[in-house]
Amino acid sequence: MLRLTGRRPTPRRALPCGRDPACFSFWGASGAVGGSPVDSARYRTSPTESGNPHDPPFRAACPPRSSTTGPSPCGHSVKRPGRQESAGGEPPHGCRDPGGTSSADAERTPGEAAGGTPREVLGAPHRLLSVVAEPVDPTAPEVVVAAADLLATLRSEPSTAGLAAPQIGLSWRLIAFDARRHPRSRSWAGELVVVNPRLAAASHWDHAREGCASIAGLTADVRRATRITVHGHLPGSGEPVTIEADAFEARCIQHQLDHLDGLLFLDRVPGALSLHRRLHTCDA
Amino acid sequence: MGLSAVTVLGVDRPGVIAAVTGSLADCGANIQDSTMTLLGGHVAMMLLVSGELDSTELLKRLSASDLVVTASAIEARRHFCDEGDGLGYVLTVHGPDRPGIVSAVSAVLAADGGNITGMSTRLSGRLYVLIADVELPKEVDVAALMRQLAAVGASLDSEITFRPVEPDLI
Ligand SMILES: [Zn+2]
Repeated sequence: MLRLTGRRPTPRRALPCGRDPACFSFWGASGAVGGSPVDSARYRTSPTESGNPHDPPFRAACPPRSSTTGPSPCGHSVKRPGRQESAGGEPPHGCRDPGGTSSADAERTPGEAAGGTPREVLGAPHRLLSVVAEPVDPTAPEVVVAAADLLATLRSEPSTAGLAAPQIGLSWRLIAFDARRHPRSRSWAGELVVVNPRLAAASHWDHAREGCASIAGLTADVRRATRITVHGHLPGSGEPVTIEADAFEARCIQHQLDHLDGLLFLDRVPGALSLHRRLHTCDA
Repeated sequence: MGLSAVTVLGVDRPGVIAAVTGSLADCGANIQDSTMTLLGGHVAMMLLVSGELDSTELLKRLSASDLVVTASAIEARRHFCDEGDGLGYVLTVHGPDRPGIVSAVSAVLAADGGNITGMSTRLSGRLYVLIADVELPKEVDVAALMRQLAAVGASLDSEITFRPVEPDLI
């Protein structure tokens, strides 16, 4: 058996993890293929199998939407209505301000960092990765715990910039992302968990290659908006949040939103030649 | 001017493409369409070449110990659909690996006169992925076809999406 491993050096910019900067999930590090829902007794809900308005018929991927309200030119602000900047205003699950101070890491309290438990990332094929997730109450204690776990899982996957709750076995509408490490990032909303996120505007469509922590070994060129506006709520406080993202962060958020609708990037591949196998030595 | 279809299969190593295309150039063959990919670490290359070619001579020049080469004369280019007559779709299937996925899905398309114009399948761990470019005759009932695909997908435990090709806007 011949192996492709070790044959191709990666001439692109090196990342701390040494992986492919073209993918926002550089590598499905866990390689957890066929994992089972974690702690299902505690968290699992009954996802809707049908009749959900978010579920397009026959999984037809939604056509690109054109924006009527584009994001501001700077495109990297996080607006939190009614919230004043204050050192003590840190919400419980890791929302830090964009372009945060140099002490951003120091502001991450031990309680916040330790608040969640990393969970196994489910690998496709898995039923929970193909069903529409349920909206949840952002202030509910179990949702706060889930948000902390999602964030803890994201932090435990150093090559992954975003995760959605279905990937850790929860069919709830929660996403977590942190675009900071990616070389093609421009906007950075911080390390953020958003509950019931919804896309309000999307524009400036472009193709780029992406991967997924739940899909080991494959990437594809996928068309996404490079400027988006997303509304949602912060876990714990339930505070409304609006994210205006561009470039890589916008792509990452749209990828996570797809997870909430039971869609994988594979469902948006534009053609037979757009599917790729990752060529990395860590492909094991 | 004659057209020949050339296929090259072999172990992937640096220089395979240079050797093959160099031999073709020496024969006076002009490469028209070609595609090349790696399948499990093996080179798979198909070329449509034009020129006054002697396929025996071509094969002799292309032969190498680690390559399997075929060359055959073919008729002029042909199209299944008249230009602009078909409707372009992209089919994605992903799910657990099992025998018969490609045949089951392609049979549904074929029954409606659908033509697969490009296809990639990948097995990664337990996950099987199929992406196909499909051209449908205009008169096909797409909704009915989608229902059939959905039924096949369900029987295979696989997710299927079938969507129109995104138009190239630029
Ligand atoms: Zn993903």
